[in-house]
Amino acid sequence: MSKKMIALCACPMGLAHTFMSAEAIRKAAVEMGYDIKVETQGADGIKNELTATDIREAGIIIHAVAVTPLGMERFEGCEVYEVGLQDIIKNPKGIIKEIEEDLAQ
Amino acid sequence: MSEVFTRKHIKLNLDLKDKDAYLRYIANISIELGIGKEEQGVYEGLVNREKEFATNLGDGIAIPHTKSDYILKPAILVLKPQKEVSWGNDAEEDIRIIICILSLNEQGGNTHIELLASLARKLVDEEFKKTLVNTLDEEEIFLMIEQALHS
Repeated sequence: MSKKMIALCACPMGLAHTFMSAEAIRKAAVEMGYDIKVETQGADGIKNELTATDIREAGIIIHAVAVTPLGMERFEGCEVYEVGLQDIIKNPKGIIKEIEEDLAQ
Repeated sequence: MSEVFTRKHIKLNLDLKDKDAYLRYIANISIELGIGKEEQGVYEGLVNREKEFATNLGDGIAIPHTKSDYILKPAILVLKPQKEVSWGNDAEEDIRIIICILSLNEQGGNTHIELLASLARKLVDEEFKKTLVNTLDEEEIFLMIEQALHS
């Protein structure tokens, strides 16, 4: 499995949970040895946009969203793990481990 | 643009009845501080956002926020209740510090969003949160939030 993880974060106002979840995922992923890229769709628009290459190369794709994000068609046919914003903010490593276990099955 | 966060935006030793009273208080001082345009509009914005999912973070911190035309300029407010305030929708949590984010509805050129985003990113730092929750020192709160906004 590729040690590349990508995530997309978006919340209702795009002020707080988008950036908190992005940072929580980034920190946990780095500590767990992943090459990580996180796109945020916050009040400042789309930042760090995930490209087709990012998506193709990713071993793990996480969506931490509480709204329908833009550009969902990019993920068609991909295995995407949808996680709750509050859950991933509180327990990023635990959730990533669950995803790893799920993928290992 | 005037400052997003100043010492006047910190209110310590508050003794209000419940979560709703704190949201009303935020709306009230937002007018006093020249941040909000209309008290009821700011209050309803905060309440409606809480209805989507409550803004308690799980470690004694709540971050009520709103983005609307009722806000004149972006701001951070920090409130410290004397005693814990119950916050949350399904799982209630005792809150010891309230960090409120008020933002404008605007397109493009959102430089202030970068400040708010820096603060939000800092709010997953356990040490940062622990210190904020425990301190009663206005100057420490001021410096911590100010640095987080510009980190």
